[in-house]
Amino acid sequence: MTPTPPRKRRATLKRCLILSLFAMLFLCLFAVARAEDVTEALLERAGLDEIEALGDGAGGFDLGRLARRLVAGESLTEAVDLGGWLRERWASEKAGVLRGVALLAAPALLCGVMGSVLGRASRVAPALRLIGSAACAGLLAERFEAARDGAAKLLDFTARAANVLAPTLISAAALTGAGPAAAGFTPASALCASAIENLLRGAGLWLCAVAAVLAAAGGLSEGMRPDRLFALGKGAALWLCGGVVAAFMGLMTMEGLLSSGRGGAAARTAHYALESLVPLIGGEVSEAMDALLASARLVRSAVGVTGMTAVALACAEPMATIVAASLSAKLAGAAADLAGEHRVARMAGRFSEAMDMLAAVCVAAVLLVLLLAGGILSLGRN
Amino acid sequence: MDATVLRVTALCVAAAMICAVLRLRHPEQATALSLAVGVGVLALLASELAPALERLEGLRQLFDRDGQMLTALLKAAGIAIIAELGAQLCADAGESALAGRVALAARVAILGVCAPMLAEALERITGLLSW
Repeated sequence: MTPTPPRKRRATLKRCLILSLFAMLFLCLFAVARAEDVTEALLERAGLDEIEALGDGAGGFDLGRLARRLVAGESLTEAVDLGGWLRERWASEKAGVLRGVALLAAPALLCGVMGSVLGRASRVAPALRLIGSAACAGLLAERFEAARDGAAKLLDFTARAANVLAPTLISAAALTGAGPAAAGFTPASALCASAIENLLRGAGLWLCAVAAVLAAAGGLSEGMRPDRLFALGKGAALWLCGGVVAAFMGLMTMEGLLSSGRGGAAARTAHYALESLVPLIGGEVSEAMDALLASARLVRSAVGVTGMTAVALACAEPMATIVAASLSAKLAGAAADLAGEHRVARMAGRFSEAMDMLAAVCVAAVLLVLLLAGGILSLGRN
Repeated sequence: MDATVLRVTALCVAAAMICAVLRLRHPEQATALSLAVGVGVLALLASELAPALERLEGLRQLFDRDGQMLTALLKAAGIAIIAELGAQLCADAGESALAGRVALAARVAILGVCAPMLAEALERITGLLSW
């Protein structure tokens, strides 16, 4: 067998190189043509379906469409019409707030008017005033109960969101090579759900209920002034919320610091190995991998932001109910104050504060979930 | 309403003058006249109260389920007005003890009328803790 002459061998090698270049060019064109499919595949792999399922409570908002618009390069403010959404909510809540104010203020106003008609020296007026206070207390308790039911639903949702969002975002992070680092957040997600269920839903809501009962007791009895007890309950609830959020923020910061070293190490190693160990096309493949990683990061961010938006939207409705109830109580208190029923006005103010405490507990729960999602999303950025 | 106020004022001034004359020799007749005029004033006001009550009825219907609560409160307000008038008449007749009994009876009646509403309110308040 005669050996191949060097010139012929060189020509064959040249032909092979030209063919490989054409093949790569074709593959690149194909890749560009199928970029949408790649994005779709990445979105599917990143667990967009689960986020969409999570957003069932997000007022029928199309979360899949939002994620695709974010991937396409739109900003969040462009993709979500927050102003329109707020206008819609206000339009639907406005009538409820006004009716609530009228309903709550009616007994206080009636008693105020009757107090004026009967005169200061009347021996019957105090009984009438007590009845009016009791009616107001019952109505305020009913409002508080509705607000607390909304808060309980919100807390249940946030606990579920922590359990669903974290694995989804961890699998999305795995697409960008930050999987091992993100996996370190699994205990944090369990801790987040547990803190919401046990501390905020258990202790937080109970403290709010105690504050509401103390408010009612103070309003029903002239001699009973549980101001200090009320302040104690309020302080305890606020400290609980602040403490839980601060502790979780500290944990997430430490977890993030620990994970920052691990984040992206696998991708960088693969990058280096391709460039240095694969001859000729190693650089091109490495660059193609970079492009794919960039797409995966974009998809991960879009899925994360979509998840956070789902949580925010789903929580907005119960929050609106709580804020509307609190506003009704405040306005009714102001109306009672005008009618000279200062005891009822003070009671309405206290109930309003108890409802604000409910809102604080809910905000703390939402913050925990957003901190968790933000922590996982920030991995592997460097 | 203006005419009613004029009528009530004229009636009361005339009755006061007659009572002042009668009280010197027949104080019991003065008291009887005072009571009768009080009832008459109430009767005059009753016709004027009808439109106000109609408006309150409209307001009550606005509150749907809580209309019962408003009904109880309105009944309590009615009882309070009548009892206050009775107590004042008794006090004017020098029977302060009787005036006290009238006030007590009114308070008991108000509690009786509003008892279901009170029970419901207390149930709602205690229900907050048993959740």
